[in-house]
Amino acid sequence: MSFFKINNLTYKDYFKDFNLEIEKGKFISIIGSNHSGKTMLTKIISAIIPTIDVCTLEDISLNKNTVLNYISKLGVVTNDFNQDFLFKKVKDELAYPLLNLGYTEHKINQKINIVSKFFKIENILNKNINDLNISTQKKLLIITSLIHEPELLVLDDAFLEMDKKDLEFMLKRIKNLTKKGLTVLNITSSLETIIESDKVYVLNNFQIEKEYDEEIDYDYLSEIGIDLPFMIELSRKLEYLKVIDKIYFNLEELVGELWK
Amino acid sequence: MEIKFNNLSYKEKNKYILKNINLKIKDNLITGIYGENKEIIARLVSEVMDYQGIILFDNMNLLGYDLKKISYIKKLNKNTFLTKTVSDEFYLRKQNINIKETIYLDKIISSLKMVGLDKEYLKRDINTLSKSEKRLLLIALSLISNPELIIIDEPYLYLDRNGKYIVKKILKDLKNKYHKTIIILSLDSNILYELCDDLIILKDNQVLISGSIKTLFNDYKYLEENNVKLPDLIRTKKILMEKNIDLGNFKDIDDLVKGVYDYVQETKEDS
Repeated sequence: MSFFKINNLTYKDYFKDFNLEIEKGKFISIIGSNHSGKTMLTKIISAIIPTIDVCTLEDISLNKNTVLNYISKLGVVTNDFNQDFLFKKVKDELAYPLLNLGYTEHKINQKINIVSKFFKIENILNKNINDLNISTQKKLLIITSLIHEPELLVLDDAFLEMDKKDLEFMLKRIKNLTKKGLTVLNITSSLETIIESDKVYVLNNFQIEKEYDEEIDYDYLSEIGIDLPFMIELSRKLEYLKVIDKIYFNLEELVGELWK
Repeated sequence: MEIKFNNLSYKEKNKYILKNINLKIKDNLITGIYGENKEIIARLVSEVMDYQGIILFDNMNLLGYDLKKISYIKKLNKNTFLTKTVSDEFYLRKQNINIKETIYLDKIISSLKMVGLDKEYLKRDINTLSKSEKRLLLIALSLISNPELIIIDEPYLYLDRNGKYIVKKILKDLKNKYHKTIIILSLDSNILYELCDDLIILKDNQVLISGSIKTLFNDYKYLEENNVKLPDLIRTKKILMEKNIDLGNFKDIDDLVKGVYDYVQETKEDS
């Protein structure tokens, strides 16, 4: 049974009879280039653009009456520049969603402790957010969206400007959370963010055009304007010249294969 | 426009952000700046700030220089756009430019066209634009005053392959056709390697290294020791060198592929 569902979404001239179903505990990526509909889809799922009984999360059908209950089960991160930090101190930023939900101070501190250990940010809790580098700030946005333990995490190009080390760490940690029941919808323009995905959908012109469980059709993605990461681009070019016969994701491994 | 920093220091909260640095940004080149404090260099050049030392613009003091000739294209934020429609935003900027109304409209349309947006966009509410459209609009707005120096922060941010291609072409045209001076700020060494002629790498409150992008990465060991993330092409060169394979420098991925292909063919013939 599906855990999250979009049922026959039609919105202005953009989405037409759009459907999506996601099972609980899955890490799903939706990849698309500029103007494919990524941000609009995020806004619809996160109830910023109102819809009536189109989105269903668990047994809640999103409409005027259920919206508060629905969004309490959601964690959302966008790269929207309106989503700035509200506080100076990291700890205060993390506490805010819990304060809103009426948690006691003791409970809040407990949660911050658990989360900061899990994401290894204990050493920055008392720091000023402005003093953190951009990559750490982006990390903090995701961690803050998870602190109230949402059922569904919606990420809209949330990994932009994150360095490779932080990106890989965050993807692994989020994947780990899916084993405990978190469902992840990673809406993205970057192939570097899809490595932990159980399934990848391709969004193009406001439609899901392809879905991949395992092997990804890089030719198709390249055709619709998605940038291929360096290793994939290099492998494809060498494959075409019959120098190698598969895609290598690791440079050392590729060089090792060429010069045994 | 040539810019020189002589013995420049800048402090925030009693802490040195830059300490006694010297650097030169050459006229009519694309210079990249890499490092955590890269925005400070851009602000020192484009705003009136409190610092010690000397900044020279074409060997003139800042006071003799017209800051309107400098355009700093920042990342998008809440205050990037001040009006409602695309058209309003262009006319807001007209206040600083001495130009006839009729000519100005033509200029607006041609700068929109340059970033791949047609004149239908003039009527659009800025809030309805996507992030990539907003970014391209900001570039068009920033170039309408015909600045001599263009500073751009993370030029490829929010853009897909087509958008990146447009921005790359604009930067190349600004340099080659219009003889502008360009500064690119980025934390992505791949982008800097692709776009820049010169590179300045900052570390702590110092200039770690500066010079031509063609030779600067030759000392990749030193740079890696100082936590500079090497561009993919340089990292490839490094791994090849460790196997005693010297294919020279690669300017782009096709160059690398050709080098590898030729080398593999040669070794086949030898054996």
